[in-house]
Amino acid sequence: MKKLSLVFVLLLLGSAALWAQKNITGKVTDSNGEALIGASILVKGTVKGTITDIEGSFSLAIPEGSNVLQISYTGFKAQEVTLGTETTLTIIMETDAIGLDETVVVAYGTQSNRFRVQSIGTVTAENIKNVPLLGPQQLLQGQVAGVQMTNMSGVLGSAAAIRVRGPSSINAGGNPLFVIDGVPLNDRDYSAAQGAGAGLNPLNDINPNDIASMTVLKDAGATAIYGSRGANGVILITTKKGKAGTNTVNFDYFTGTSEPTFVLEMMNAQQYRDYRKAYANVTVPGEGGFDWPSAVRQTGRINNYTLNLSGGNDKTQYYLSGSFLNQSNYAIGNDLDRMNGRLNFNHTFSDKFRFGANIGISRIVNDRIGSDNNTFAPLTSAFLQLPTVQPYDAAGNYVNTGFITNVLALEALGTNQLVTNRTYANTYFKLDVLPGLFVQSDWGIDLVDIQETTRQANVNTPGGLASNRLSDDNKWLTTNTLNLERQFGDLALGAVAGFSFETALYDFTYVEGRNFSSDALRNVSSAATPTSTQNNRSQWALNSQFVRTNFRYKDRYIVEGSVRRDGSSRFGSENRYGTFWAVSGGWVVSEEQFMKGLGFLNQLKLTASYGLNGNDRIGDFPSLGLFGSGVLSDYSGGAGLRPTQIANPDLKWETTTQLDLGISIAILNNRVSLDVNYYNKKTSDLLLDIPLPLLNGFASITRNAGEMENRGVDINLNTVNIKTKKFEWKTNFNIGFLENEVLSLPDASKDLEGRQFVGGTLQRAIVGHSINTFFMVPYKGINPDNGNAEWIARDGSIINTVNPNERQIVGDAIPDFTGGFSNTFNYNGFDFNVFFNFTYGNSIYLGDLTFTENPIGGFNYARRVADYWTESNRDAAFPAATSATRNVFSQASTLHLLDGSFIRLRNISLGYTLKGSQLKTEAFQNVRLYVMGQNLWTLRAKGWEGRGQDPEIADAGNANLRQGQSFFTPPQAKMITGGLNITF
Amino acid sequence: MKIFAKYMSLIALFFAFSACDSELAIEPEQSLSPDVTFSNEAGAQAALFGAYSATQDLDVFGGLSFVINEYMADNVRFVGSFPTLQEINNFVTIASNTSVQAMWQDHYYAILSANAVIDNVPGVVDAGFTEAERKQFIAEAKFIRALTYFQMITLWGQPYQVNNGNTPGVPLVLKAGALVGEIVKPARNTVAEVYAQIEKDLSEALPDVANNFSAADQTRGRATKGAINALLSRVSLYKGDWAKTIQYADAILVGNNLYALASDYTFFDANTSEDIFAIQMTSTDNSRTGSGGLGGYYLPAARGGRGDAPMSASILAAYGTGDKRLSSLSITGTDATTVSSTFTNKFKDGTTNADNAPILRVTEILLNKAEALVKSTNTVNADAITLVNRLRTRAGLTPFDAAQFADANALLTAILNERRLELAFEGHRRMDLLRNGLPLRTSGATGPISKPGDPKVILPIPTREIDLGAALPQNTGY
Repeated sequence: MKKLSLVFVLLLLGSAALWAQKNITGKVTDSNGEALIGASILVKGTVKGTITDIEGSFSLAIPEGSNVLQISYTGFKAQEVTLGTETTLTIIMETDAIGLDETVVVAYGTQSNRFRVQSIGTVTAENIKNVPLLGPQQLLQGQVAGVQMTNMSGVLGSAAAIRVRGPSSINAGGNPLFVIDGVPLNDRDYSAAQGAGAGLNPLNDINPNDIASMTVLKDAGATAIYGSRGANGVILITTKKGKAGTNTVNFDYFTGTSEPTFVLEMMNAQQYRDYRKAYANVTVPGEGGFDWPSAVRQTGRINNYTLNLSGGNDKTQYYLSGSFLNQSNYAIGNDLDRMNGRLNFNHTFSDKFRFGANIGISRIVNDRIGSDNNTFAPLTSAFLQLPTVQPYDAAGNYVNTGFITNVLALEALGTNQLVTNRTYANTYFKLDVLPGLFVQSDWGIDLVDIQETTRQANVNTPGGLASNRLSDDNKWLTTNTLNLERQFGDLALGAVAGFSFETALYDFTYVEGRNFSSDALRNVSSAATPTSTQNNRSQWALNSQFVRTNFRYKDRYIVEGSVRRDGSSRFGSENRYGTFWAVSGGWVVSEEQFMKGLGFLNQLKLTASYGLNGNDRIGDFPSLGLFGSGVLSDYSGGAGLRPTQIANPDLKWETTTQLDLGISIAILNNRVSLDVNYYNKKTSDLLLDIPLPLLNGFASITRNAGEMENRGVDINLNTVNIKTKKFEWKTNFNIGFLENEVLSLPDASKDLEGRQFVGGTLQRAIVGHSINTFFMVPYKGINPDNGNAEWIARDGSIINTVNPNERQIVGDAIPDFTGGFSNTFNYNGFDFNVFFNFTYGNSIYLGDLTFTENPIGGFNYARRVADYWTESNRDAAFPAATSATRNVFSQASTLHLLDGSFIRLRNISLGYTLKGSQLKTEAFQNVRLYVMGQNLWTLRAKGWEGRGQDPEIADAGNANLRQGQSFFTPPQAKMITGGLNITF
Repeated sequence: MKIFAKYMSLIALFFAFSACDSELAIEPEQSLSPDVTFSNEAGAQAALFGAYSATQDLDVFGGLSFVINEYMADNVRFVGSFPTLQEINNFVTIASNTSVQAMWQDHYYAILSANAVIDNVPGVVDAGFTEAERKQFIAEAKFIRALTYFQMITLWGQPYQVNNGNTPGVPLVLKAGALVGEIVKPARNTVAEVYAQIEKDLSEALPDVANNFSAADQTRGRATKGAINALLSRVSLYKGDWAKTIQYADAILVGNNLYALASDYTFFDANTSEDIFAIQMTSTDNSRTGSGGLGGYYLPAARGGRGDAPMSASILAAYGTGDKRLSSLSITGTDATTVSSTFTNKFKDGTTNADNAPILRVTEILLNKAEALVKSTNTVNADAITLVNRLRTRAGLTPFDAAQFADANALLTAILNERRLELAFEGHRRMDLLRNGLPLRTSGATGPISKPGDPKVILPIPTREIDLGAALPQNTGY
């Protein structure tokens, strides 16, 4: 292990250096002179530091060559104090309303907001302390300008599509890179797709209460140091650490109920019979009916318990937490139990040596349901199932209901469970080598272990079916950095240089069997017919070197540069290495002499950055020509091989260059702060699946071809509207405008208008337009004179068929803007928070309408289908029973394309905090009681009522080329919770 | 700046240790490169099996083409819920129909897999791989290619009888170019050209394939002389070459003890001497790749099927009473719309779709010959009656008597009716009507638009192909 030996070399070097020291003592107080207990004091550029005691006092030995102390305390502006000759200090901390001097987490380090030239968005524990959270991704929704987060569906555990400044690729992965405490997370799609896009939430395993901060790295200046994985943005998650001096115990419990936000209105048995008789002259056999949509719904329940202990002394600090979440969804058969444990500790071993570890473990037991395009999905099948079909026979036993399975039997008799066990941990060692220079070595793991078990009873799948799916993804990595921070007169120099090696081995096993003698036999080995035996392994590795340097002159002029060189096993030997870089500059105008007279202005900063990133998410072996084996290639007992991938030896990195221009203003005693950033992000050498005519035997070949651009503006405005001793009102408003344009697709095919495109028949990336452009025949309406449905041809004429040659560009799935608006009020122990998020200007294709609104379909109908044309109902929504257009009415057209804009009351909460001191008790420090509602109100665009459910959907998850499409996608939950939080 | 030098040397030292290139050379563990695949006989044989395997797909011979050929005609009352399949049933198919596109793609994938064998076997460097074995592998691949093209030309092209084959067929792709990055966009060949290629492939393959194998599932499941003769008999019949139809049929029926007419109807999925070529299926083949199969489409829900394809009133009437082909090969159950119906029981596995797909069997060859005899002689041919009576007797019906038939046409009608009742649900009905100039349906709104030459009796070229600039003129009417 070369790397290990290096660490030892550095250790030796470090201990060889001996420096003279001087001792400093001091006290840290707030502006009223009250002692601040547990404030952190760090000798800048070293690991050496301490914590104030119960009197706010500290004492610290300062190594020679160091002359700056950094003092920080939550809720106060961080300070730097340059030491003179004095040995006793009094440090007065100022409250920090908007975080101007907050230290924020960036890639491989931290920076002060004041001098930061990277474009990032942050969410800290402070922002979220009064919001009970079910998952970390909630922290991103409407919180950070330029980050669009769309929940895939309302199914518990489902993933979200997250886009940082738009989609920067077409066929490579679109999610940002998640890094928790320095460990980039494994994020394959581990779970079996059950109708919707594969994928569970990669952040599911994290207890949101453990999160101290989340940083979204947006511009190249911030992400280039993540090189080949930075193009989609990077999200850094830092977990909470213990603070010295105070030992606290915090317990939180909340409980609540959930309902779907919207439900489709389908016909009941009588309506169905009447309609079939009237429209198709079919007498539906049988009597009575069954209300399937109601039968698959229930009131969801949620209970969440969190206990954490934190504290320590000036040598050792700890944070220990445990939580248990027990949740049932509004749909039958969908439950989630999550247990989390975390231990974070830091220990100062000597003046020069510190180490620590962050260890998180979790277990999730998820009773899954299928969703979307799946006849075994309760929230799909209940709407499709004929209302005249009964789930039980006369004796009360479940019956087989055919192609649309009996979902009640499925949930009562079957198993569909996913168990995740996950451990992510990082240990670090920090050693002072020279004044202002320390070396840090990090060793991390992310072990994902997923077991999926299904069992379908005889009544659903004759003979019965069982399967078991095991996925293991074991990653380890090491990151070793040199960190420099020194002041040379007016020049402040910061640098981080390092290398890392990261590798993950994915192991997948799947067994399936059918034909059981009894439903009571639950496992695959009891099956008479084994139908699948699979075991696959796949490994990748990444070897990287990186540097970032930052120069600041007179606190006014800042220049930062970063470079990373990545070598990846995913690319062919000719293109294995890629180099990525960025430069940024900043000018703190308000520090100039000529600005000093402007008293109201606290800060004015201009920033610019330019750089490039890559994207390596194209599978593990994209460049090789392959013949696949196994049961899909065998024939009549003989092993087979068949072509599975076309060779692309020249495949290389996709690169995204990004320009970012920013202005940052703080005025009126820091009560108002505004950040505005313009960006232009251009991806070239797109990793593109060039579609092939199918007669070549393959649907596509991956090539580097084409360019795409995302342009936009991110605005973030924080204000403290009112601040008195008893009352405070704070507002955050953020909004991100985005325009996506495909610039070129050289090898792609041309449509009838000569535009090049890739993608499907309904949604495609078209040159000169968005990557998610909807391409359909426009629907006009029902002709009141004759009851024919009418569509519009490209030449504007009226047609009575949905001719694919008449498709036009009719919208796109990318919103013009998204954002959030939150208001927080605090009065005399009460806190009140109202948070809206909004999306505007996107289209959504509801594929379910081609079923529910097919006037001659074989399934149940939406209630409004009864509004068909007759002589006496000429203003109708559906064609006449005699019209030939009824046969083609359900073919995809803009009839099924809706405006996806919405504004949603994402969260509203009211809490009351009682301090122990108010009751003159020391039994507890404080108690907070709260009630909260989520998604209680949503305003959708016109055309959804009675037709669609929730506009917040992404049925294919992260697929870049398929956004804004739904097929009975389960809606978000409307949730009301109440809770209690006690700090001891 | 002594200290600066110290910093710099430390940084230089730091990076000197970071190279780790060998750890980036990682190979896949579940797949082979084309070079390794075709590096010896075992690999070449595996690639040949891979080509057979590609034909198992739902969209090729796994069931969907059978079902479509039956319900577009008059044997099946299709109540399936899939809009793309209902479009085909209602003769309102549009060119972007995704089921049609999947069928097109999967047929060409099977052709690519066969082409890969034909292209690469000659270059395999393996001393133990004999010339005879090489020829046999190539011949088997040519059979797979011919069989697949033959199904394509019946689905996407008008019958040969329309304008004597001088109508648009499908593009002939005869090289596995995609595997070496050679992407092609060929034009459509005519129906006659595709027939000619099929006959060429089969004629070239005939001398090189085996007569039989030691195991029954290989004798009935791989290309043999019997399989090629049988397919040539059908191709000739569809083309209207009666002499060749009879010649190739006799290669099976006369003096060939590998094949014999079964005495009852228990031969499905059994690899008996009734089978000449049946695509071998197991519970791990088509069930994993397709959203259905033969049993999946034809059986009712209680048997694991979808209940999409019950028997039509027309075929139930055609069977009449006492016909064992109905009584021993049908069951009742509820269809997808919950109506009690009669279903074929030829395919028994609705859950894993493990029934072999019967492609060529003795009964068909016997019917081919009978039909060709009547057509070539234009008489009430006694030999033809004798042949058909073997089937009548097996079905428990009274044999025909020559006196029953006023003329050759009356006998031909009777033979076609027997053909319908014998081969029902095996994908023959649509072409048996069209090539004889008959409409697919004689009643209902779609009857008048179901004649040979009508646009929607054949499938459209997928829109995607035309979008992608392949020089493929669309079928008329799409």
